[in-house]
Amino acid sequence: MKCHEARKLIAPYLDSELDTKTSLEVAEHLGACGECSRFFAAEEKLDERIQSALRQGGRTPSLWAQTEARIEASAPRRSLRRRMWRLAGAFAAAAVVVAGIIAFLPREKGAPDWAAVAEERHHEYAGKKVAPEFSGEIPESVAQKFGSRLDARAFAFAVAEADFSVRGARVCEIGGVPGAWMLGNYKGTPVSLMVFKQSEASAFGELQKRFQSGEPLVDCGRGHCEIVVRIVNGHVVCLVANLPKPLMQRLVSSVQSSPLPAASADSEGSVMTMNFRIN
Amino acid sequence: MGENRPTPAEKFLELLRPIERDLEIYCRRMAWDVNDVKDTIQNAVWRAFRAFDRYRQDASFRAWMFKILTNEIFAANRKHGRIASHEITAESDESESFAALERDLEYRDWLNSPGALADALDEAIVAALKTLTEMERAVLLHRAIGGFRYREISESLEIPIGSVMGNLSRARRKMRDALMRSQRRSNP
Repeated sequence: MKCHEARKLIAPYLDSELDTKTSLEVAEHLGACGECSRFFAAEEKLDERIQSALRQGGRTPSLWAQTEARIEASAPRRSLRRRMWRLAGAFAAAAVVVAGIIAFLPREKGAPDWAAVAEERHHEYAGKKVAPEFSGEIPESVAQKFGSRLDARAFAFAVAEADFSVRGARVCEIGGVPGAWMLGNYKGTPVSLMVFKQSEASAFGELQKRFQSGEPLVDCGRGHCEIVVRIVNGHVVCLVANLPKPLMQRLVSSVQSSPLPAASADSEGSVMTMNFRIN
Repeated sequence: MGENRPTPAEKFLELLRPIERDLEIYCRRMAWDVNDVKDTIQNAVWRAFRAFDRYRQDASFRAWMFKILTNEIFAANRKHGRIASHEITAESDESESFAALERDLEYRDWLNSPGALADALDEAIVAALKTLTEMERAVLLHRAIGGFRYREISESLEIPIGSVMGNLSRARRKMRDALMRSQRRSNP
């Protein structure tokens, strides 16, 4: 791919809208062309800055209270008997909820199903039931199998910690959404780094709602291991491991993506360590 | 069991609450007059609620609400004649894409300067929205605030995917041009 061809694709590439094959071709060009790498990096950073400014602002409580009240007022009023039934039902439900909380503490309220699947996958890795399928370039067979559903950029995410290493990668499907699964290791402890497109929000249920409310980092640990999730460059980045929560938060906070394996460091003074690259 | 089934209003509000903030920010950025925001949101929500029985449970409520709100905003902007003269523009010109942008050496110098992003103020970025046409603004904000994919934006705004890409490309270029000008004015 030539520079002008790559640059024509900059918007769909940065928006993760290209099919896997073309996305790989662009990534390959960026790996070889320092000037394009720097140009893409600067564009991506500017886009993020613009996006962050446009998303500034809050919800006006009085406006929404009024709006919701109109909807509520339109609903037929429940009869007293029906409300009594509801009250009794609410007490019963509360008892069930309390029992559930006790039974599953510290189970996270948000996205338990999603977290359960992520944890299950990680246990398969930690228990050596699954191994990396590839390292480096995404095999053609994998790219063909998932087509445009697979986001090649998801494989360019990495934990920027000196003691973190990646053994390889494979595709991980959660809720029917294919994502990148980097099988890593931190000082001898297996660590799974799973990355999905944020736009595939339906697979993440409550988790997505919490991010939409502005929460930057979500802990979904269920007791067996820690699961920490954050949004990075339009992707849901999830780290699963049996490590202390503060360390997990530090690791996930260091996760970065790089469409520019070759030249990002000199353009931004970044200290990122690329453990996994597409080239 | 039937006694505890949520009413349509309860179901609607349960889906609405997590996206209220995004809907409001989107409306504030899209409306030409900030005084229209309250009425526009309330009308859109009411309209959506009345059509809630036609909403498909497997579809994205978020996308559905954005579509209804966008129509309401377009109507409000039109009703008051708040269509700026620059909004009547020629159709997409392929030469006005990133290929043209990259030839702009001034822009590239600025883009690569260390202070380019650090000095870009939130207010300047929001003000730069005013240089966009209504459709460019809608596409850009669908992407930036709604986090929608091109296909979803195309469905929401009822325009072809090629137009989504064209509008997005022009919107980003105009935003960057406006930011560059704004920054140069404050740091001559």
